[in-house]
Amino acid sequence: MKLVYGLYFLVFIALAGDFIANEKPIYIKVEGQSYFPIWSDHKPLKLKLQRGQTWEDLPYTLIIRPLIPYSYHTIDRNNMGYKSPFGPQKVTSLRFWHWMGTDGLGRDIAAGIISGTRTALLVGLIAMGIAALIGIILGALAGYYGNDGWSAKRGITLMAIIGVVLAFFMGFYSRRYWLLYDNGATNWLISWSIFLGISLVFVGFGIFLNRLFFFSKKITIPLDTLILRLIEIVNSIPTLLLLLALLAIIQQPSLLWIMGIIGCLAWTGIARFTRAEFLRIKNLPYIDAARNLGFSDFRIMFKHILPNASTPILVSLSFGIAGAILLEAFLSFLGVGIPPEKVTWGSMLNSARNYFPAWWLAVFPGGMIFCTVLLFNLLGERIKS
Amino acid sequence: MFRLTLKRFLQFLPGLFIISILAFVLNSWAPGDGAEIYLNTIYKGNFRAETDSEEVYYETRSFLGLDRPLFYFSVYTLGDLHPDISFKDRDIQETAEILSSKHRKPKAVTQYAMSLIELKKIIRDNKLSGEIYRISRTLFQQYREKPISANLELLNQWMNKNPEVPGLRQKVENVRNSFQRINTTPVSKLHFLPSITWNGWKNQYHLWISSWIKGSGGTSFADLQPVGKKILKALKWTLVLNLISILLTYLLALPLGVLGAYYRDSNLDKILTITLLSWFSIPGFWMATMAIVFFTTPEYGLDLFPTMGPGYIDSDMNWWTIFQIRIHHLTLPIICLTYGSLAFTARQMRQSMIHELDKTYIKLAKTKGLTEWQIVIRHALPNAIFPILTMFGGILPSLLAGSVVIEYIFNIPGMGKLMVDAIFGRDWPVVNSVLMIAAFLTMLGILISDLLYYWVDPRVKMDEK
Repeated sequence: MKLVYGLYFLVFIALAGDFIANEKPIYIKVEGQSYFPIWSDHKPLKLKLQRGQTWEDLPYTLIIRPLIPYSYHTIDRNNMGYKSPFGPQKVTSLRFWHWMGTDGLGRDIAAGIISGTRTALLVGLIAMGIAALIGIILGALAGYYGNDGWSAKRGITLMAIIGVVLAFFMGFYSRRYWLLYDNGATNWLISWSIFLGISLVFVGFGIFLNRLFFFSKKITIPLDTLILRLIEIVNSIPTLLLLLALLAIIQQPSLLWIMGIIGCLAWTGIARFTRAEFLRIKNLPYIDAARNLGFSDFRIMFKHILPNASTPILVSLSFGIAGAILLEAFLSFLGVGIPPEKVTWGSMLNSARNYFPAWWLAVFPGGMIFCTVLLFNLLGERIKS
Repeated sequence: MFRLTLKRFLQFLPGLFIISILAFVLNSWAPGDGAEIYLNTIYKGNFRAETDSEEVYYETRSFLGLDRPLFYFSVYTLGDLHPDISFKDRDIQETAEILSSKHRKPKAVTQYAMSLIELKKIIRDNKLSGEIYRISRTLFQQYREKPISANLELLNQWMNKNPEVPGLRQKVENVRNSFQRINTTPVSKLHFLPSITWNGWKNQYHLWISSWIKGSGGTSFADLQPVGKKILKALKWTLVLNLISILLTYLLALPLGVLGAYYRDSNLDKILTITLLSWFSIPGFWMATMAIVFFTTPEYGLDLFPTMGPGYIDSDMNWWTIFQIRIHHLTLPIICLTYGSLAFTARQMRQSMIHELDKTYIKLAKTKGLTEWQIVIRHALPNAIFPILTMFGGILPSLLAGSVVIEYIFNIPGMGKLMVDAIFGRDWPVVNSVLMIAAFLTMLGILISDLLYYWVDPRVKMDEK
């Protein structure tokens, strides 16, 4: 599995990005004193730069700089206006060469790519993490219980539905002023306790009702059909368009929204595969054995079936991550939903459209997107076979 | 067959309903006030400078139906303002809603809002402007105790400095008293009980959905044209692009897939597999950007294609010239739109073909002495092709998403471009209508592919798919 090393490499870049590309030196020795300016975001540095001064101007005896001596936001005033990686650049030494060129503001493209890796992986992994959570739970429910496996007495079903609706209404809707305008943790805590309390009261009442004549009859809930319908509906929502519409409405764009929305829309594939695997595995003898031993449904589902159903889930997870990274890249390409100060692969690629002779703006960030997406696709293929 | 079609179609209706609700909710969440944007389009941005702006505003609101309730019914608690109560001032309305959700005393809050309305009326009747107008507007927006008393104090100071306005002092006093009454009246005991009112057919959702059924779909904020008309115009381009792309996809993908399957595990197959997989991973917008950078500019000596747009057509050109111009302009977009789905389809075709070639009837055909060519073309291909044909419903969503990318980059006035432009122009009716149409088309694609599947293989039961 050599591909996994590619994944490790990406994760390494994402995690160690600040140490690979940073305008601050890792280590500097001035007048016999040692400093680590790279930590200065977390721990204030005693050594202060004057206005307009660079680290180079200090009377240092030893300096260790990161591999790329620029941050993604560093504006190199000497190299403004799209400097080609092969063309003339005004740098003091080759150590400061912009290996992937600069953009119009003089920002280093290589540093931008390093910082974009983190954004891309973060979006891909977290979005698909959410999707996997939803997809596995719903798929497992649909596959394991099928259309007639989930039944409950009328009393508790009725009361649970009424209770949850009412509890939501009283806990959250009627307290919306305290939640929206007087935002505080205590207010949310109160709301949640009202919600849980009312729900519990109703469930308790439902258990009591179950003994009565009419309410003691069982009804089966066609979980499988319901979840399949839901998958169908979610599938028909055009993810990109919905993302665009939602992100345009949201006033303060942040990556969390993108992750959340992609996660809430991308679970259908995982759910379908999980369901199919559960349908297959639940009829195997060892599950019968587990059932006869009296294990709970929950335990059978997630401890006995899920580990054996993981391959197809991993496959669709891998493809899903590729898709999520692509979506994020396109959104930042359009400049929708990503905070404008963030430098991502997509936003760099977009700047290639402003100035056509700057081929490096199109080639490097796009190439990075391509490699990452290809990596995850190949990973999926490999797991599949 | 007919019954199945009908059943499947009926199954789609709830989905359609949910999608329409989703689009509608997005529409009503959108920032900005519809009537305000509408008027600003008419008055070119300075309608607030007009004299009777408030009257015009409320007339426009009711003309657009924005003063109606949102849905067929409203749910509220007894502690909230009754949904039928509305004050003819946006700030006061908002303040009243916030206050009632805070204090749970709808009656007292209504009285407070009424006193604010009276204050506003007397200021307007006496044509008071300047400082007092500003103070009163800030007062209308406050819902906390301190700023309200501070603003009332400011009003008092103003009244002491300026000549007496008949009745004003009393109104201000009224506001102060009614605000204190909010604090002193006890909270009604049943304030947390939910309540529901039926709004009848006169609601915003009904208006919106029926305008869709009639075909107009609301009014675009950007140029006040019916949204439906704009979408129809744009849909033409998207359909042309996608149809050509689908056609090309199938024309090229089938032979490639057959080749790969026939020469399975040979070097040719390996090269094909790797090429197709990497095509599949090339992001469309990267490909398009690269195409624009390298093939439409003279920088790199490869100025083969015109820059952007679908090309300019004069009315007196003959069809051949038009055809040439269109081809010249649309080649790059179509290539960029096609290669991804081509790679995907060819890979599926290869798998399907391999699956077919492994079956026993192929062995029988071989032992019968048929030529390889005959076996592949006559026997295996028709069976292998059907799953691929039915897949078309599945690739429709990705094609639609792809055409957003391609149309935006190549500046082709299709649905995707319309959508992106509408988002940047904050033209919410268009945004949400495109969203709904796209969802509808996707559903239609899935429906068609399901029916095709059944038509090809009637053994498949609809529900157990």
